[in-house]
Amino acid sequence: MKRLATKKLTAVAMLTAAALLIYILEAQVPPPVAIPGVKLGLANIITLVAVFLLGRREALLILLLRVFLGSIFTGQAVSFLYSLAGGLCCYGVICLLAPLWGEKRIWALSVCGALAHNTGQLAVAALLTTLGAVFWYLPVLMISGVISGAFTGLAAQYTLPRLRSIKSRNR
Amino acid sequence: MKAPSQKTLLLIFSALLLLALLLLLLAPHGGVGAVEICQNGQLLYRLPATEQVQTLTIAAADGGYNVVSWSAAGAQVTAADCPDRLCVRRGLVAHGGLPIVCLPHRLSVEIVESGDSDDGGDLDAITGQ
Repeated sequence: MKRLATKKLTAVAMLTAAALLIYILEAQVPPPVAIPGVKLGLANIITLVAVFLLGRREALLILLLRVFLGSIFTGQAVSFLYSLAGGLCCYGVICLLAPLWGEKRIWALSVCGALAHNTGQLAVAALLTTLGAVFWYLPVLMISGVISGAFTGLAAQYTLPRLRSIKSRNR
Repeated sequence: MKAPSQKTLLLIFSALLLLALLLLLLAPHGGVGAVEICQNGQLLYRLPATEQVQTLTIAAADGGYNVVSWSAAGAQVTAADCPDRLCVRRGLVAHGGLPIVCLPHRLSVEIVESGDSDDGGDLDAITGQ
């Protein structure tokens, strides 16, 4: 029993480190589009993979750790709330749809997650800045969400079986 | 409940993409009639656009600033000291629909298209504190 817990802890830690790395690296590259909220969201590959590889609770833990530590390491306090809101919305949607859609549709899960992520961030932006005008950004963020969601979802879909084979090898 | 087929999902997302594109393109395009500068949800200024470029510096709550300049050709944030400067990098915005937003400074610059006003065309400057 103890051996299992340690194995899981290690797996969570490794994926958290991976997610953090991806997140920080992506933050170093200046965004090509000068609209706040348009980004690839590559760290969500880890979230998606974790849901199917380790489980939903572990995936949530990894997500929360990544958001919290990520905002500390990138030094952006403002983005913490946005990241958290977006991440939780994304996670919620993935949790809802994953048991229904399964592993073959991770790309679609990711698109829905990305759309939820952007909508959540927009809602927080509207609340914090009390500017209703931010919802004009919805069409742009929908486009960005579909494209980036599909991209990261496909990446996760192809990564998952390979990670699985590693995991099963290390009994 | 059976999972939707891959094709169905592809169709739905493509339709969503098209809808979003349509929404963007169908946003009304006129000339710039005026700019509305809002901060923290309050309308600070509503200023008419002329042929000449006008400039205004807006102070932010944390001591920062945004320099907004506008004319009939469009509006832009020419300088700011926010951490990401996305508002400046946005460049010149010539039509309404997507305001220039500076999230750190809670500022938005919205373009009111000419022929689009709801007060009978008389434009005045409103300051709200």
